[in-house]
Amino acid sequence: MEHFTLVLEHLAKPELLILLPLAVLGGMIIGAIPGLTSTMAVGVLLPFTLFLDPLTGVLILVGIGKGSLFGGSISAILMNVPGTPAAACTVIDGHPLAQKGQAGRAIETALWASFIGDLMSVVALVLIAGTLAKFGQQFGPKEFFALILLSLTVIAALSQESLLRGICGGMFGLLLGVVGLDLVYATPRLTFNVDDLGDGIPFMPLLIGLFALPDIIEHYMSKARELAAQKVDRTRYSRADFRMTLPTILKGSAIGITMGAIPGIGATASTFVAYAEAKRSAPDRDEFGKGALSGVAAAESANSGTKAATLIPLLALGVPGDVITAILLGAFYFHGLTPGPLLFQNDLPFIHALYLALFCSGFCILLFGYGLKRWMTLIASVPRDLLYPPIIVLTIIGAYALSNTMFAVYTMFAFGIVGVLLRRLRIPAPTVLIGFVLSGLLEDNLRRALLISQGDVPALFQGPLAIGLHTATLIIIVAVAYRALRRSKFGRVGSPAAQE
Amino acid sequence: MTRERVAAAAGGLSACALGLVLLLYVIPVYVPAPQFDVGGAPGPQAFPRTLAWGFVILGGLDVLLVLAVGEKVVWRRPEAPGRLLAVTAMLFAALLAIPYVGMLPVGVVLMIAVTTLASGQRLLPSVLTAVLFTAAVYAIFVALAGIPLPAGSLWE
Repeated sequence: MEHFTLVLEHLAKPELLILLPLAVLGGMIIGAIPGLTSTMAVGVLLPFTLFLDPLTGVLILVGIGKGSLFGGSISAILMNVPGTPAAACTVIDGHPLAQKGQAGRAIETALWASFIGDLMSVVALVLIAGTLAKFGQQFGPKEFFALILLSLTVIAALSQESLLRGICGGMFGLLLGVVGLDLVYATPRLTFNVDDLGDGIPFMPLLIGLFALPDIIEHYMSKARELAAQKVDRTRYSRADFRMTLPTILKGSAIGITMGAIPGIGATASTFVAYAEAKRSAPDRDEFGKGALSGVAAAESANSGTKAATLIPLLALGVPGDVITAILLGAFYFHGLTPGPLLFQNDLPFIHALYLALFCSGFCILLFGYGLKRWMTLIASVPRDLLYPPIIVLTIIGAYALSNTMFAVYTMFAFGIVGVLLRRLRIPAPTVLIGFVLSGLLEDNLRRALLISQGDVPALFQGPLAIGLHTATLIIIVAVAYRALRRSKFGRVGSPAAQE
Repeated sequence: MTRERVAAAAGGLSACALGLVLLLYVIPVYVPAPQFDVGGAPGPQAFPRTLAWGFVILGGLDVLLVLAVGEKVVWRRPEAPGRLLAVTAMLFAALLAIPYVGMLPVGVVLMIAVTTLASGQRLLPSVLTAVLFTAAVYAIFVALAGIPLPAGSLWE
């Protein structure tokens, strides 16, 4: 009973009840506007959430991410342009449906698929995270060191076609995380005698610089052009449609959950797998690509299925699987919380309140989806040239807000340039951020493990868990290297634009 | 080696160069050696040094792989370099002005300048967006949440 009261105490806050639905709504609008990404929105808004209580702050960021996943399908269906990368697959069947005059039916299909995918994902989070956290209690420093190495390898291997550049990105993040005072030896490292770097590179300017500014710069590199959107008609997603698409939705959600729970894969890849599976198993596979409802349902259920599932490794082990969860990890740290087994031990009511709020946010998607249906054409057609200048101002305010120094603003612009360079060099920025977030944890666990073993390095590779994790890392490296070598027989021609 | 080949190998080359600069100059100068030993724990230089060697080895491997495969990359040129330059110049001017004039006035002028001069939008919607957005920013962040904004030394 006391536990239940504590959970309610977490949830019964007016700001949470107001801001969570607003975050979902805001995420849907951001996702619906091509060119505005959820990463940009979460990155820009993170500094402002740190002034709220931890649960509200974290849930606002999750709400924006969830809302934008559905929002991305709106522009995919109405404009033939995915609002988010995860909606790329929705375009294939969503836009042909809109061209046939069934935009309303396609949007409602996406809405129900997103809702069911999201609910199933939260159920999976509730069922798996606690058990995984209990398992994580057996981890000591050397196991955590091995786990972080494994996560960085998986993320590097899956985020880009080149494992080497992915790992280089992760190592660059680890290097950035080294900057500042070494707490064990009390010596400054890589601060270049700049006093402001004594506490390390500030997280917020780095995040905004790497993820919001390059998008803004890319926007102004192109000529100003606006896209036309189809009108939302009165066609509906009927009960017969629901019965027909339900198996695809369930299968797509399961694929999304499985792939979301593995660090590094993310929503975009899972939608393509779910779409391919839906097409393979459909009796009317010729309809795919011409406006099949099952195509929309598969893609949308899979991308929403990943959302809460990406929180499984984050909450249970403290390991982020994608950019949004890396940002969430930063938010947890700022609020003085450390995700992982200890959070389940020390603050279970917080975890259960988070679960309940995640369930509720799924219903917000359904509610706002129906409420906004008539306005979707208007939202998707908002001129981006009017939206980007306020975003620029928000990035400056966001970078300044926490430290109250212009140094943070200049740092943000410096990392904006770094972000553009990383795109040119085809080094994935998400691995840099994840490396930066995990840097302290990795070095700290390595040092503690070596202190325990009195400097004996081979001891890092002893014990069944550590051996298992290191073996998994090795298998991934060998598998990716083998794939790269096989592919090299045929030669490649690539361009940054094509890879983006 | 063609320009496309260099572009393809640029990532690996940069990683390699970064590693060398770290090993030869940055770490020896900006990461002081420890004055004492903490029972087997690696010193402050160990982790950055490991990363630097990683950059050299993996960056070198990436270059070799790109050359062996014959990979080519075409760097996309900006469609509208004038627009990008204009926005960059306005942004730099704004950054210089913020410490003196403050965030809110600079923000209004920056938004109007970017939307009208760089994006060719009409003045009225630009002014309306800028003023309404700034009012909202002030109301939400300053008045409600108490988040400070750069005030500007001219007004002190």
